[in-house]
Amino acid sequence: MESLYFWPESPGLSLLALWVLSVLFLWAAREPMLQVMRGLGRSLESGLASVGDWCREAAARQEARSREVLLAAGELELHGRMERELQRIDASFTEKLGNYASLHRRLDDLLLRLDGDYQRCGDAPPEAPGWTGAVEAVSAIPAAADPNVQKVLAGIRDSLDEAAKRALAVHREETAKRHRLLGRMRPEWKEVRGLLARMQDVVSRSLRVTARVDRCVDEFQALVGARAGGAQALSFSPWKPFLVSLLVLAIALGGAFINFQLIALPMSELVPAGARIGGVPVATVAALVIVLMETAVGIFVMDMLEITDLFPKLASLTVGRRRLILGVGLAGLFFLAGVESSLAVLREQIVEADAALKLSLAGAADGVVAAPARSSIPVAGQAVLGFVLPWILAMVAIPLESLLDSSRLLGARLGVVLLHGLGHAAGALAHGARALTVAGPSLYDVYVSLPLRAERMLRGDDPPRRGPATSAERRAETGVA
Amino acid sequence: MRAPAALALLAAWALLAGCSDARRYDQAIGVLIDVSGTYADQREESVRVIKREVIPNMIPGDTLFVARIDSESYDRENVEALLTLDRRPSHANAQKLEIARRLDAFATRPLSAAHTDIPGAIMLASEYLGETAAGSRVLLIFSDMQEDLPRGEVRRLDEQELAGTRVVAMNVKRLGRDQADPGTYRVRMDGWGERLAAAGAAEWRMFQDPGKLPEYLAASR
Repeated sequence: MESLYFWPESPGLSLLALWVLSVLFLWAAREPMLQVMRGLGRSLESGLASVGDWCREAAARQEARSREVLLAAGELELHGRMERELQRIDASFTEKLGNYASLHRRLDDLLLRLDGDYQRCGDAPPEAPGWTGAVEAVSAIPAAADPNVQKVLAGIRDSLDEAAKRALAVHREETAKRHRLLGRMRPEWKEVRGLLARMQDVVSRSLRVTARVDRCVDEFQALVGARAGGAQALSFSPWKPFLVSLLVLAIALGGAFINFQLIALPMSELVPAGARIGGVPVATVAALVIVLMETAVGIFVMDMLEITDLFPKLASLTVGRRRLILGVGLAGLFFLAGVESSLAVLREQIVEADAALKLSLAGAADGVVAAPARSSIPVAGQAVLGFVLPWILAMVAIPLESLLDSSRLLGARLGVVLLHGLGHAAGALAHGARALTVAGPSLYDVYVSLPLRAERMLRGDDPPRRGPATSAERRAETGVA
Repeated sequence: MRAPAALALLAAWALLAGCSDARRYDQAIGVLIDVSGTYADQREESVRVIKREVIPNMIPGDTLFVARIDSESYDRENVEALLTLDRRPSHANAQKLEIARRLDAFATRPLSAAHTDIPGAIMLASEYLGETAAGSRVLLIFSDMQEDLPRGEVRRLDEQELAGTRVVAMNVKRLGRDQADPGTYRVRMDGWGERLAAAGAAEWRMFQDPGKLPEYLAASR
């Protein structure tokens, strides 16, 4: 600043001279300067207004697209649910209704047998012996006291008694048979009751599944309705899968960290210990790569099992190839799990050896160094952890896919909000530019007011005496149509 | 479509290759132990410090050079131990135990010297450490830093003799005249600082507490 002073020893005088010069210069250049200011203001205003319009249009487009994506995601999710339900129905009906024919046949057989048994159980009381009429005829003889008549009567009585006894025995035998038949019918009745209960179960399950399908169809109808109406009618929200998958991924990250720590030290036995990549020891990088490889193999396995769909191209492979890739993936995971397990055991040995070395160098007694406290529990625990963690890491594909899908939806929403915000900000700036276009020339005139007043006095012009400008005047001044 | 994919793969490969580190992180540690005159009784303590503070913190690929300072130190016979640790930690541990045994033997071996040829030992160490081409070089000197060359011997450190080498004086013993006038001791140490700086040493410092050595070695790696 001081370099601009005409007289550095008199800053006040220098500043005054500078001010006078600037006022004179700006007064002389007033007309072009005002034109430049108005032009700049109008350009700025129209540019910002265009940016605001573009942002609003882009936000509307993005919102529509986001809504479509949201509806498509909801449709896909609902479609998946319906497909699952239909698969269950198919499995259930195939299993239960497939058994229904044999169930029905067994029931028919049982009923036929029961009917036959029932027919055989018919109670036929024994007929009375046919001697009754003969006895009545003999008893009607007048000489009843005749010994011959008495003898005949006695003979008839004996025969009658014997016949009655025989008939009673036959009746008892037949009754016993009926009881046996009835006794045999009891388990068959129980079986019939059980079969009927199973049939009732089958029917009620079918009814429940049908009710679920009904619900799915209702939701589908609501979705179709939502396409016509607002997207808020849709029950699908990306927040839930996003947060849940984020949480699960954070947990998986913790598991990966433990896994990494388990194998980082022993990896130094397998790779050059001194070499580094970007300042990080190669052993550490190698351990990280192994953990990432497990995750990558897990992603392929989950895709091959049709649990996830991260690589759409893999879905179009033939069943044989899919099985081949699945087999290779599982074998790779098994191999990596085995490697990790052995590395975990090696880690324990290295730690023990390091501890023994430090004790030895510190001058501990040889006996202490030779027989450190040993326990197989840490070794076994580390080996099991080393084997199990890769399989758990392999499942990261599921939350990862969920996170990617939901992030896309949430990102679209965030984009809409940002575009709206930018549109509003650009609109506000355009408004500010319009205000400056109006106020700028006035401020300029204030700065050069002294020479301007002098000029007008010399020309004999009346100073502008007017009230607040009308909107038409303002428009004319700023050049806005 | 395939051409951009191939280009992307090539770019990723180039990026990965670029990440591979050309810098060396191995460390060469030279240790000079004075066995002459007034410092002869400090030999066991010096070995103990090396075993406790230096060897355990060495990592595979590091080099340890140990030489004694006596009347004529610029001699290969003065080298007590020289080894580079194996890349495999288990083998490196065995090497550490072996060198610890050799240092124990050195500590108890009867040795004596009438003169103290510190520059000769420094020159010897500089040659050995330079050969390793390690990423960092540190020279530890266990001595009273009182030079006492035999008559007629000349020791002149070149300008680049210790280029890139950090020199640390450990466990410097105060002499009788240092007790009488500590300024003498300080002038002596300052003199060594100037002399070593002239020889290109990256740093010259002293440690009274050997416990700080591991941290220093790790920081200078």
